[in-house]
Amino acid sequence: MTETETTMSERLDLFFHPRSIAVVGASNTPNTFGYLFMDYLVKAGYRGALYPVNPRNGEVLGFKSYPSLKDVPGDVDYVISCVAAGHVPELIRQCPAKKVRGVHLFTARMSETGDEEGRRIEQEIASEARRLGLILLGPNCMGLYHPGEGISYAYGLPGKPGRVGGIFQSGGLSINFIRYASLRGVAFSKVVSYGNASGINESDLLEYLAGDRETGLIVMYIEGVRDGRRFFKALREAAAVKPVLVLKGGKTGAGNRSTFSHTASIAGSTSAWEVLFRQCNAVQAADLDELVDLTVAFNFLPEITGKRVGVIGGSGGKVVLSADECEQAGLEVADFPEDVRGLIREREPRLENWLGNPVDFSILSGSGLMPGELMQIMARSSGFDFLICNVTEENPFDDIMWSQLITMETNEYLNILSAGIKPIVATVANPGLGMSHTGELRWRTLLEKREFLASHGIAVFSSVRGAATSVSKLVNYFLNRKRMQAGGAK
Amino acid sequence: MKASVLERFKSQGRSILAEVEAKEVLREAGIPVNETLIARTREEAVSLGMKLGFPVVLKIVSPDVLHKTEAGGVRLNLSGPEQVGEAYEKIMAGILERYPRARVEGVSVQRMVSGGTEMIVGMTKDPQFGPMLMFGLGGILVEVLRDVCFRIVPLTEIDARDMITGIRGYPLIRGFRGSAPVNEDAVVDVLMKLSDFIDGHPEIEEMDINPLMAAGNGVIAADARIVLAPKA
Repeated sequence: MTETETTMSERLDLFFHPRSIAVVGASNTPNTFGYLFMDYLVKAGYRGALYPVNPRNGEVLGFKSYPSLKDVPGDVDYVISCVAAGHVPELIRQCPAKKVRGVHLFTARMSETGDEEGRRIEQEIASEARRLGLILLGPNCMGLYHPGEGISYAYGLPGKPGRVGGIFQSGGLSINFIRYASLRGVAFSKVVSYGNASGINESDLLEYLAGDRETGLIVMYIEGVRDGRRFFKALREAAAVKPVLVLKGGKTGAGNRSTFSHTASIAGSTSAWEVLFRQCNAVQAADLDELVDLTVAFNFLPEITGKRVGVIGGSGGKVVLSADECEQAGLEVADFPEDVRGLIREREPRLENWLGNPVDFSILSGSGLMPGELMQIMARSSGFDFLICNVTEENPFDDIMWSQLITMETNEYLNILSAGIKPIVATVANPGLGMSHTGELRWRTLLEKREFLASHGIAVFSSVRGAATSVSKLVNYFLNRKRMQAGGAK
Repeated sequence: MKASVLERFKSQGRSILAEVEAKEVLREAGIPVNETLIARTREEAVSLGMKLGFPVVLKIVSPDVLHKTEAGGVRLNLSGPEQVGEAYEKIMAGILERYPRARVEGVSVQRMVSGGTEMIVGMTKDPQFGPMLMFGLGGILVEVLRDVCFRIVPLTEIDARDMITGIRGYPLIRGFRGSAPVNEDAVVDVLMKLSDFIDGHPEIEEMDINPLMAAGNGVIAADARIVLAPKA
């Protein structure tokens, strides 16, 4: 590539910031995709020029419609194709005259069907697009969700932009993911569903998001990759710059190749994907729930490079179980350091040797030491790298005092967060609440606290296991990155 | 100046390189190997033994005998000329009995390396990600427990170190209950050189260095085999 040529990432950046969009195959019939893609853009508040293209209609959703792409006045940056595969080659040929940057093919029924004709037409489209210098997204994909530009591929996705970028081989799963993560306070820079990847693929997108200033961390769902060697390089380079969280779907068909060497026969039983993720320092999620938890952790927490956790809140067995979960996740439930003991001694000498990590709040009752004070003491101690705070659901008091105590506790989390003295995560149990339960003060309060904490920038988890596993992986990511940077500098 | 050993074998259309040839390739890649020479007669075996220094190891060299030990084709720890001579005769007689139709090129002679920790270093190609290197401890740890660590080529030095520390048997590398520690830098050096070499030679399909032995303050490839891609 010469100096004057634009890079793929530069071209993608232009493509993802379109000044005008044409929806080809736009329709007035509700719940057809020609209607939906128009309506998604309208509802998401797209501010650029929007051109429905349809040979039959004069207007679609109140926008003037054009019989073909070439009839649209002025240039079109971005084309969404909802027409059948057979019409796409002609559409592609009309693109250069409109200075189109790229085409998103929602159009499907191509190579994914496994039949020869589908594969042939997909290849024909891809090579024609390449020849004309067009970016091709898809086919068989939902395309682009870019809240900052008012571009969406579903109803009700959050409109507020954030710093999480997504690369999803499955558009449907991406929508689940966006909704779940946004319930936890996460917002997105852009998410791309790329389908069959006959044009741009996962490596192009990874390289792009690695350099994208709107994106602070990258979340991926992949089943397979087009070019494993290139993906290896792209993943290693991306994860060196910003966290890359990956969920891998589908098991590798390692196959039973006949092998001659010992090494090859052992390799057949090893997952090359596991090797890849470890070597690249990509953070692997076990399932969709964990992908959401990890996203929450990496989105809200700063760089943490130590595993000493202070576990606070709750009482009795719950506290003990919390500590177990932390240790199992590879965290260290460190003893109270001397500075903490000293401060407790000053306030409540009786508790000096009774209180410890994990902290059981019931020990404090009747003493002069308030839960909030103890949290502050721990937050200010250099003996802990971060705190996991369990909202204390159970106290013996009446509704008013019960909710006051919970409010005091959660307000204290925010004090610690805003003072910036110690990374803090919260857990609020979610035992499977239904609509009818929100009428009860207890459950409503807990739901409100959960939302309140998330909306104020605290990483909130439903379980200590989720919190501990995610933070442990976060610490490993940053430790590995430091080690790799130091090693690379040698 | 790169009319390499590997090029020579490739031009001969070879696909499987057994110990002697594989070691030639490895030496060219900068890997310390245990010098191994071929004897075609009893007398040659004895004189090579004297040249290399006792004790020595004799191994059958035949493209038709892959599992040399099981075939009775390996004799270890031969401490003098008579033992070498006898071992030569026994190997030949045994092979003749078990594999009467095997093509036999002779026996290989090398100095016995003993006492050090046995490791395995290997390479295979993943259909998606290409060449991968493997490191593990030799013997039952690799056979039974599959206690090995893989990394995709090309390696960084950190990758190489992670492969060593990443196996469960790592304490044995560090030195356990009085056993001598393995020089980890020497293993890293082997892995890095192999990574470079493999990166530059996509025709290499598979490789085993088994064992790579800790010897003195370094390591040495005591046996090896290499598989090349069939010529296109």
